[in-house]
Amino acid sequence: MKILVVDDSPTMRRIIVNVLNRIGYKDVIEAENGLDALHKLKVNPDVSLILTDWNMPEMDGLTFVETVRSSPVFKSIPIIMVTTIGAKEEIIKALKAGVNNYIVKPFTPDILREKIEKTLAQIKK
Amino acid sequence: MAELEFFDDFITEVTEILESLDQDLVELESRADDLDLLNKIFRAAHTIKGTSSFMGFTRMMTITHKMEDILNILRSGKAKVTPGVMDVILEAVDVVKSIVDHLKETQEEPDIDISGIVGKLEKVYQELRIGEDMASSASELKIEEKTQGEDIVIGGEKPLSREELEAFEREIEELFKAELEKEKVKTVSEKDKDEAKKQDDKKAKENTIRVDISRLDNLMNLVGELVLGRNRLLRIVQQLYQKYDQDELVQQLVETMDQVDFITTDLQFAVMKTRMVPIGRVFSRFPRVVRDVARELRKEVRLVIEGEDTELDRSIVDEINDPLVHLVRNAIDHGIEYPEEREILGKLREGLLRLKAYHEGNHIVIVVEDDGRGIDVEKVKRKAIERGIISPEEAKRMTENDALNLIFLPGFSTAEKVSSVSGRGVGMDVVRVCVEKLNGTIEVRSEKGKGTQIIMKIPLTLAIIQSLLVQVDEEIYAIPLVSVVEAVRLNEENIKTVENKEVIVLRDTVLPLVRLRNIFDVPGEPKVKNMYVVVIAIGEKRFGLVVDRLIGQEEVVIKSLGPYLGSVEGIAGATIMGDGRVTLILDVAGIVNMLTYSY
Amino acid sequence: MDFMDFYKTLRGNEKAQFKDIKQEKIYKFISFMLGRENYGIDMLNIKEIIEIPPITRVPKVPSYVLGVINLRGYIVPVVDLKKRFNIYESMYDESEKKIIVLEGESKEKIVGILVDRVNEVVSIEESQVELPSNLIAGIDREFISRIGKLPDGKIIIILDTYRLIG
Repeated sequence: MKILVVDDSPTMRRIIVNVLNRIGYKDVIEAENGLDALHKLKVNPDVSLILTDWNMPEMDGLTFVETVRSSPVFKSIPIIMVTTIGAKEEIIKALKAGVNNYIVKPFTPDILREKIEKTLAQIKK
Repeated sequence: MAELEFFDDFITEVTEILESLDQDLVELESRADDLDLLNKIFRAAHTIKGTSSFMGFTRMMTITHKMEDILNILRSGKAKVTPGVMDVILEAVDVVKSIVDHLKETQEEPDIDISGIVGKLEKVYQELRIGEDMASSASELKIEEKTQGEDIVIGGEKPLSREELEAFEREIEELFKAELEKEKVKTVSEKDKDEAKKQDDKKAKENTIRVDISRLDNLMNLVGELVLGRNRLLRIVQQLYQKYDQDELVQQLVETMDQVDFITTDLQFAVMKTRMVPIGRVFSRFPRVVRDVARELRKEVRLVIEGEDTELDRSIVDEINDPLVHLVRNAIDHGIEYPEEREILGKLREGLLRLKAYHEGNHIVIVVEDDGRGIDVEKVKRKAIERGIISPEEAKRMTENDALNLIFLPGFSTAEKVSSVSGRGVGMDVVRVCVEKLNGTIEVRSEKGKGTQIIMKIPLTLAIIQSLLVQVDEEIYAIPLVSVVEAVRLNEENIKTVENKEVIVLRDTVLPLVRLRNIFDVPGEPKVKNMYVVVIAIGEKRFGLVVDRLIGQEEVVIKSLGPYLGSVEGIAGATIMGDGRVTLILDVAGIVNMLTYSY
Repeated sequence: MDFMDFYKTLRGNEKAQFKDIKQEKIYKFISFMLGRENYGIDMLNIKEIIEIPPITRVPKVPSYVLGVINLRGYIVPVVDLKKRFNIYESMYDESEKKIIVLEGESKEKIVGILVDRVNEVVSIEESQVELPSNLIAGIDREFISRIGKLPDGKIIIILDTYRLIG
């Protein structure tokens, strides 16, 4: 299963990718902002899950989610928004924009695995 | 989770962010309601907070978390950016920087007490919140933020426990439902903001990758080797051609060789270019420097930066910062007058400080310019006489320009009172030494009452210089061409002795001589006829270097002698010639220092 | 040239030998001559062994520094080890002299040492190596790390590479 990780911080991306690898997801691609993520999606139509940050230059997470949701090709890819505990407003907006789930930083590998599994299970229904 | 495997990435990223953060913050003072800028700054604090918390660097996390809170209020537009707020934020950035410096060295956070700065941030935050509450009574979407501000525990932002997480998620779910109810009425303006943001940051961060500098060095070495191989091949091909110029195969070989020759030169140039970075990396720190110094000295200064895209070798960028800081401090301290003084003089209250860079041939020219009181030539002369640097007679004969450049001599400082800003025992001579170490030159121009201009000219790259190859007996040395004024033929009978020092008279001036053979203990018998004097200028000093033979001009790649030998007196480095031999490159500034005792 | 091949073969064998013997630690050295004495340097610190290329004299450095050479684009200083240790006898032909290029922990620290002759790779068991006693006359004690006994009963003076590299 191919996962796309979108975050403008290379360190954060490495951390997330590392956690994903640790819990068994080896096929991970990265993008540094929403716009970059859209380009990555075009050449990787087989992405089956997106983890995206909110605050990013060029295209933020929310715009990215909205764009994906309005695309006929990609609109059904599950998206998990990675956010912080204080950002309730953001979470609500993200949920409204159509993210399937969200996860607050910092998270443990267990929580991330749970979120991923839960999200994928929801989609199957 | 302290993830040491991410440490290098973390440090690189945070350093980059902090670099642009300084500039953005200072810009924010003049563009307080620039939302894009505020968002960018917020993102910077946010990213540092997030990554440092993952790395387990709790002090850094705590400070940036507080900053983020403040910036969040600011970007909501509900409170204004004031100098007081900026002071605290800038101070916080400084603390974060010092933590990063410590991290770089030890991979651990320093054991410092941050409660002072956290307290200040907290105070600002509370003050802003009061303002915000008053302003936001009209706002329709109101979500409690009780988690913000209270969960700062030194010792780490830990992942939430399962119970906490579930409670949080339930809360979100309810809020979400409530939101959906209200959904019917919707505002349209939301979208425009994002549009604007898209346009902005577009220039930055395009298609770049990070490469370790040692890899580039290695690449440069390999290309150097390739160039040597090519040179050897060229000679062989030429000989072959002379022997068999009718042979078709040889003709093809010559053609192919031409191509390879051309591509190799191109490649060498391209590799050098990969090491080039824009000088903006240094300039970007100056808005902050200028602001701080100006505030400290109660001056008003407007900084104008020009040519920040001008590129130069990365190793030079690192060296140029300190002299520039010194020059800028000097300009504000000694150059620019107090606002009241300027008003009386009919100038704008705000002094103008210009930092400018541009290319000139193989050099980058960096200019620090102010519109302040200028330098009083007579005062400089008096001081120089007082200090015994020149005699009163010399002072009379001196041109205005020569006199101005006296300020670069050791032990010279025109400051009448010692201020904390520039009277720190370092003078312009230190700046000059820094610049000359980079094979550059420095000069000053000034008009009393109108302003001062300091002009530095530095080679684009430390790695490749034009040199004059000279020979003494069997030994060959390379002299950096920037310091060479001319070379003239010399016979023993032209040499005169004045006070036990050898000199020659060249165009009516007396030029002290230095025999390379003597200072470097070159074995063999001295020549008496048909020697050469290479006239060297370094700062105001001129001397003639006596050598046996001139070989010619050549572009050489400078390499270090390595840590075993360290710095060798009079030697700047070494280079590898076309035949694979090593040739030493002279450090003319060093030779001058070797001689100061004997003058 | 053929020396390099010889040297590489030895290095290859080294791995094979490590597998066989596990009970006792084996030290591996390149043994070489300075005057009449046998010296050794830990294989791990040796980058390569080369014929003497043209050497460029460097002024203003201690007299035991012969100068610098070009080793594939890197500038490498060369130390005359006999001069360093004040050894004056010469037992071998000039043509046998070689430069052993040593590499420190950081890759930039490279130094070449000029020796009279390079002998071979020797393996010595831990029990045959001891700390230098006061009986060893001649060179500065500070450069000696161990004294070893070769299978043929000869003594080998093992040098402290990190001291040499400085």
